[in-house]
Amino acid sequence: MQPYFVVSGAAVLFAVLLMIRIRLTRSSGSRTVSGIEIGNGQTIGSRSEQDDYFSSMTTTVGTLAVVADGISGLANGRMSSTLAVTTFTKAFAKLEDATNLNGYFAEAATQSNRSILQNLNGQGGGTTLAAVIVCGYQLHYGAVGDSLITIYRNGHFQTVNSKHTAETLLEERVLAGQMTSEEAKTSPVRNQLVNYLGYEGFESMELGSAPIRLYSGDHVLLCSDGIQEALTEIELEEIMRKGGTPQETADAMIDAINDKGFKSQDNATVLILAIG
Amino acid sequence: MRKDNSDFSTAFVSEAGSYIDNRDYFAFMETDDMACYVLADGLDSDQELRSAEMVVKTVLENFMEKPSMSKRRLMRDLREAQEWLQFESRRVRLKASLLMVVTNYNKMVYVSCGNVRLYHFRNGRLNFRSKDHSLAQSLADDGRIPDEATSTHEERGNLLEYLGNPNGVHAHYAKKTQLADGDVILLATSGMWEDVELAEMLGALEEAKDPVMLTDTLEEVLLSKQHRTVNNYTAAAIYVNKVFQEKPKNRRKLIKRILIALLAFVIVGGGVWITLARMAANKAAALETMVESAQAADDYARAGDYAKALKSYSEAKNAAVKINDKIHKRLYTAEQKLSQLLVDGDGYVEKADFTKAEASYEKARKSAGLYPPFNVKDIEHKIDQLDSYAETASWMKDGDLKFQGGDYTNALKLYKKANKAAMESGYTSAQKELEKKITEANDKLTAIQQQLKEIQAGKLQAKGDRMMKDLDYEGAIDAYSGAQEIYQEIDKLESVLALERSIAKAEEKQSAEQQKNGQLPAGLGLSDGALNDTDAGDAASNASASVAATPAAESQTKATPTASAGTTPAKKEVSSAAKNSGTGDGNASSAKAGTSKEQGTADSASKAEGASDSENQDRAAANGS
Repeated sequence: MQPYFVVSGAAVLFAVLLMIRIRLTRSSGSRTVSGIEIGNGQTIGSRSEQDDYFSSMTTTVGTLAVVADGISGLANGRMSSTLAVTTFTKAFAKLEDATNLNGYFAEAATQSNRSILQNLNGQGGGTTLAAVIVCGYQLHYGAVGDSLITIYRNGHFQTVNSKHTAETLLEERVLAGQMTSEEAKTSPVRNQLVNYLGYEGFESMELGSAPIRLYSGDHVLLCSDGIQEALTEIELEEIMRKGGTPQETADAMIDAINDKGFKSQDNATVLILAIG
Repeated sequence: MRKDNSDFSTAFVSEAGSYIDNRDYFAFMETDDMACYVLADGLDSDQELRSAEMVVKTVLENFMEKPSMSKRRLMRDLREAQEWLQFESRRVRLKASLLMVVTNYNKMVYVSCGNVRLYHFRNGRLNFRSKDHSLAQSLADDGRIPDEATSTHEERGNLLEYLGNPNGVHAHYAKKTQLADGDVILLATSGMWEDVELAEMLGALEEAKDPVMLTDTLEEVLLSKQHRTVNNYTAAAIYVNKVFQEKPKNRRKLIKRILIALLAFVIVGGGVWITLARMAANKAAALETMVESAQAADDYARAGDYAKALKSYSEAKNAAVKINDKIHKRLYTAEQKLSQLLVDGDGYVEKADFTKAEASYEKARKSAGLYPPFNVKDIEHKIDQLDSYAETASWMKDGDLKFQGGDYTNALKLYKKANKAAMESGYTSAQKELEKKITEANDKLTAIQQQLKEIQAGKLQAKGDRMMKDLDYEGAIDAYSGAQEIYQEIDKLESVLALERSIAKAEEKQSAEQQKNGQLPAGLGLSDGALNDTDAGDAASNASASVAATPAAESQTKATPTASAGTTPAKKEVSSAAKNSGTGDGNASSAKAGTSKEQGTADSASKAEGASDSENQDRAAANGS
């Protein structure tokens, strides 16, 4: 009878450990954020200078993450991205509560735009910007330009913001009957930015109408377009699926871009926030 | 022809809204017996591929190939669409929500995955609505938000299931719903149901008399809201004007079918039950056998009877195999092997191959500690005894050599020594052999003794013969008697009998001699004529003639041995009478006259013998001449 006792004992032990694991897993999905782990990666690509700039900061209000992509085609791209990120972080540091985060985004964007224009002093320049604040399990965001904010959840991505490119204008022209959809799709200005910081016609940045609910295990990614152009969504999914810390994941993304070795590789920056 | 005997009308509206591309897709197919309506909403932003269109076409192609309302078939179609999306997801993850409605013009089923909705209206009211696979819907299912809020809740777009999900597709299949005349089925993508509330839908339904009017009204309602951004939207309406009427079911036929099915179930179920019961019984029996055999094997192993333990462990192992008890099978196999080692060791001991025996015992000793029924000390004792066994075997071998050399005495000694050692050490197999060898050696020695005695007796017999020749009848009798005793000792009865005759003859001769010596004067008087015929000088030849006549006398004795024996006393009596009458002739004649008839007979016998002797004498003389 001895072997039966051993097997039964092992089965009971296995069941107990499984229950403990399930409970621990469930408890990790509780309503309070136990911590946000941050990772980042950046490559200069084949450009002569790095015009991407990023920053993250945690205060009593929450965790801020900002990625700015200086427009390389114009002069002063680096200055613009640095100035915008600095403006956002300084303003966030002064923030005392999370009651009006959309107001904070709008104010910081306006101030950044003004400062960049002042520094440009009539010269060309500017930057895109994607900023998120994770407050509890709520995601607030503001974006201008073509940088991407996306949430990786349950093995796939959910895009948060939209791109501010000429595609939208072209769509409007198609809808107005001024051009066909084929012409819009093949238009060379399709990917041209129509809204960015440092733009004289800048009015406002895109803001989430309501905070997005986050869950334990979610990853929030902020990517400059250098990431999106080099890696497909499927490739990004594969890297994310491998797991690891946010820093390891960000490094893996940059390694993947470098491995591809595109001749016209743009500056690429990724910032990953893992929700605990 | 169900289609011809029913009336289903369909219309839809699908627009891109304020976007260039319309990523919704609706298509339907009506065959004679079935119809399939499929609506999909593309959820990705791929610039080249249209996931909604891809999945709708895949599903309809499969339906066209084999129309079916079965869950298995429809889910398989859905999985194929999923696989197709995953295969085409090269740059962007292709995703789509999908709703498929299948009807046989009498009943309908639907499969949904994602957030494309189905509304079923009856008599101007909502009969039921399909559920989304969104977080908002799951919150509503948990009762945390009202069901109406699912159309506006922030998590309405947070989908838990959709086609193209890398984690696999999990769709909802709704069982058959009986359709009724006047039913309206509405299929809508999120672009429609997010902005058109249920009340507005019911209002549009009230006004519309056909599906075209309904979808147009819904579109008007949607656009009248004048949102800055209008998503892709699609609404497809199916008006069930007339449902196909099924043939009334024959109740008797139905009951008959149920009974047949029941009977088949009872037969099959009974068969299965009996089989299972038998299997269970066999298993229980095998289990019982296993336990009993294992118990017996353990007892044998404890008692040191490893041959029986081996057999029982083998039976227990076979029973464990039958019930697929791997743990016990392993245990009994190990114990069986252990028993086999010990049995092998014993076998080697019997064959006197003590090196192999020691190797087997050593192996057994090493693993015996793991199995409680096996006594390690017993095995060690076996190993210790091997030296003693070897010594016994050596003595036995030496004894065999002596035996082969004819040295039976020493062979016997060695065998006895080995036997004693075997008894002391419990070397039973050798003991049996040694006992046999001891018997053989004893037999050999006995046979030799007998031969010796035969020789001895032969010698005495020969001595007796020699003495007979020398007329030493007394000595001959002694020699013959001695030989006879020896023959008696060794049970050679024929020789005893032969010697008895020799002794009798010798006694006769002796008696005759004595008579001759003691009655010579009377004899001479009685046969003067004879004496006249033969001179005294022939006395010696008479004696020799008497000896020569022995065979004749002997033949007479043989013929009447009892008479011969009976005559002897009579002769002696006569002889004594003669001796007595030797005192005077007159007395002798008177004595003759006074003799009884019996005496007379004796006389006549004596005379006859005498006559016989005289005849033999004449023959001998003739022979002598």
